[in-house]
Amino acid sequence: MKRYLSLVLAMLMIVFALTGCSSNSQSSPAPTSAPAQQPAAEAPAQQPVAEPTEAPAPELDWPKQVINFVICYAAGGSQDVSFRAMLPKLEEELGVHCIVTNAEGGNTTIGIEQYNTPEYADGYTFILVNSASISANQATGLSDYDYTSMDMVGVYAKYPGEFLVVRADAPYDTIDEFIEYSNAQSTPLKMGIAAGGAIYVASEMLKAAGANLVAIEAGGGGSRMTQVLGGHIDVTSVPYTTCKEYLESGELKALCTLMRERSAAATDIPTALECGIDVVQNTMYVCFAPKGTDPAICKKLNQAFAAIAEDQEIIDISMDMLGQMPYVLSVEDSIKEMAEQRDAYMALVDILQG
Amino acid sequence: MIDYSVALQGVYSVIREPLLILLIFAGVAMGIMFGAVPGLTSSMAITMCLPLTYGMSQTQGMALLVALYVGGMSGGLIASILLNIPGTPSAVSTCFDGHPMAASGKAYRALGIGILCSFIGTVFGLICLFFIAPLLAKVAIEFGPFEYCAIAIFSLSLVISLTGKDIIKGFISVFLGMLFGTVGLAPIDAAKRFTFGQTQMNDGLKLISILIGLYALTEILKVAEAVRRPQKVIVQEVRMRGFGFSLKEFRSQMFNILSSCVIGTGVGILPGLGGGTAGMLAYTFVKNRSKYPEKFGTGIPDGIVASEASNNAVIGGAMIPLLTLGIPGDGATAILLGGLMLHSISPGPLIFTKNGAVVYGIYTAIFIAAFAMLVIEYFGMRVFVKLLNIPKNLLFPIIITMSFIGAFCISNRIFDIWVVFFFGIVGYLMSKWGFPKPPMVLGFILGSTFESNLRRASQHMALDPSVILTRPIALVFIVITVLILTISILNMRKKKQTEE
Repeated sequence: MKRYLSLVLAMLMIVFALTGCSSNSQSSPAPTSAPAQQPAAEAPAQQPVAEPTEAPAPELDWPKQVINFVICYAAGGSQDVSFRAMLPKLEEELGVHCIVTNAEGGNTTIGIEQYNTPEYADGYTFILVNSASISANQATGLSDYDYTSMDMVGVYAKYPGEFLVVRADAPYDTIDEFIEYSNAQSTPLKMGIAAGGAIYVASEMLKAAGANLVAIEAGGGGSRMTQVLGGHIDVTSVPYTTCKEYLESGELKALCTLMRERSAAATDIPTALECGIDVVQNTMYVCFAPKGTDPAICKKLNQAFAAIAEDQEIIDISMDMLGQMPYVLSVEDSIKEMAEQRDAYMALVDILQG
Repeated sequence: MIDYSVALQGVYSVIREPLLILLIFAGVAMGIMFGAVPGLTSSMAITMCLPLTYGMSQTQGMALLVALYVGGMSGGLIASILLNIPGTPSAVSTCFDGHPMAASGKAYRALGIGILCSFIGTVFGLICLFFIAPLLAKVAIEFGPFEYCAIAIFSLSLVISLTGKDIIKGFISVFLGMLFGTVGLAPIDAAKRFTFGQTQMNDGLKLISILIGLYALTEILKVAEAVRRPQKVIVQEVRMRGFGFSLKEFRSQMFNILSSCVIGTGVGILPGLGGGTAGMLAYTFVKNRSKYPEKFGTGIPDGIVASEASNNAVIGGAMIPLLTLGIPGDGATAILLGGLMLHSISPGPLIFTKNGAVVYGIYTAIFIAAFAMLVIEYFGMRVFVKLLNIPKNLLFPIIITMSFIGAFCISNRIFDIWVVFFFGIVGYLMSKWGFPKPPMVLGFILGSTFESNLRRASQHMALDPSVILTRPIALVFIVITVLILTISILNMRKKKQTEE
């Protein structure tokens, strides 16, 4: 009896120990040999927060502990997967363990509102989102803040795409034909969107460009694509990584991409701009720090992103998972890019919130 | 069509490595442990081990992850049967008959049946996956907002009728569950609901904390209530040979097993419904067509069979949209999707041509994992049953601590532990007042599916109201729902009249 009791207790203790080092939406990409540092995100108070006003120290003593990267999307999404793949290189560059937390929901508002607080501005918490969500949320009224509510670390990769996809048997092959066809219909064509998000804005941009469309809520990328396949909706915009297998198998076709430049992995798909349609959604993956984080830390992390972008392994990961070459902008350029995108989205604010 | 040479290559890639088989056994054992402890789930186990697969080959990595998934799905039955606390959301319906059977001294039999059915369910799902995956993927694509909305209504009404005696209480329970599901940001327009200005409420309530509160905490409160009374020691029957099933009994359960497997696989291919729904649907189905529905809930094998066969059949089902469409059905498969992509396997229509060998390797791993689960749980039974001998005043504090850790781990915040407390009180009051808990759990699970698809469907209808007539699957589900509800209300009236 006692023997079994101790056995059960021992098993429980193993589980205890294991859960101690990781948890549901978190995972430490390094072997779980250093579990003691886990509560990084929970106990920032122990870490003296560097005053931003201080004279810049000659040598920035950062990082010293586990860094928590908060991805504002669900585990398994393209930003999550690609970032996790890049993480080992980034850890090598920074010399500390990093963990990833997924705080999904509300098109990034949930993650941002939870982590963009002074208690997390400790230099060990960063927030990863895509640029379109931030601007689109503001333009659609989902949020009342823009990118300036957080401190910029930088654009660290290009989004895999914004490809307008339709079923292969659809009677149009280009964006022009699509717009023409839509105008010949008595009921508008259905464009699947994720509410409030960038795709909603894209649908409004397409309408402004003359398409006879109606936006219908259809959930996340995977869900939208299945609904196009099943004929529940006519068109949607998805990342290249989501649709590439279907483009290859010939079940879907891509009309165009809304990015400013053609995607490195799909050079045969034109941009909307090239087709004479003035619709651009140049979405980027951006890393932010909670407001009040030491700018020197942001800069150092930005440089770390830039440094690993040269690495062949990162190039391979980027091409493989995002269909893009690595793309990193400096802190200043990132701010410029974000400002441009915000203005483009905010230009539509009357339509979006009307 | 199936390319058998690629399939063989895939099978061979797994079985040629004895170390890999050992890895699968270890994965299953860990999965079972996570499944068995209330609050810890297979998705936690998979998330934890995902980083370990970085350094592994494609086949090794995926084998470990599916082993954890299979183990975690099955492990939930242990706590359900022995403690009346579901270890995972999938095992809620295993409590219904599993625990009464164990409480009457037949814990070995209950576990044996559960384990065997888990195995059969997993293998059934796997067979579907192997032979008709592309076909089933086409079915999944046919399901749009109308169909999801209809199937949510259908499942919820079935569960109301499941708890039988008082349909009004069942209805209230479902309704409350759906209401709790609306806490946080609304699915489409992100309106804040019932958040009381707390940012933590924006994220909504979590299924795991509700489950722990309703079941684990309530169970503990009940034990605490009886603490001054002498504890009843249940003398367990001596362990029998095999799985506690005679061949004759097994044959009589054949239909139950098969129909539960079909329900489980069917629910599995529809993303977002999950193992908990499968278990309850299968249980209701088996109960409704049984010749002795009144015996359900008293500890008969039929109930365990339905629940365990179906929730494990979900695995094979859920792998279908995951592999052939790249769409995860639940938390666990979402992380598996990440695992696939990390290992440069692109799920989608071309997966068989591009990564055929790896896919068949995954199938083989699932099969070995199912077998490992059977072996580990069969020989582990003796140890599991000893749980019943541990005095409750020692055992329950450990369980409650583990549960709280589980709740905390959902998103590393204390808030979820308060949610557990709240639902502990809710669950306790519900038991006192005779409200059934399963409808609340299912209401919570399906509430958001129902809502977002209802709203999507209404957007479609706004364009063209006649569109609903073009959705025969949805219409059939709605008609069946109306029929079931009418019949159960009529039955209830008849019963009342005869009683009077």
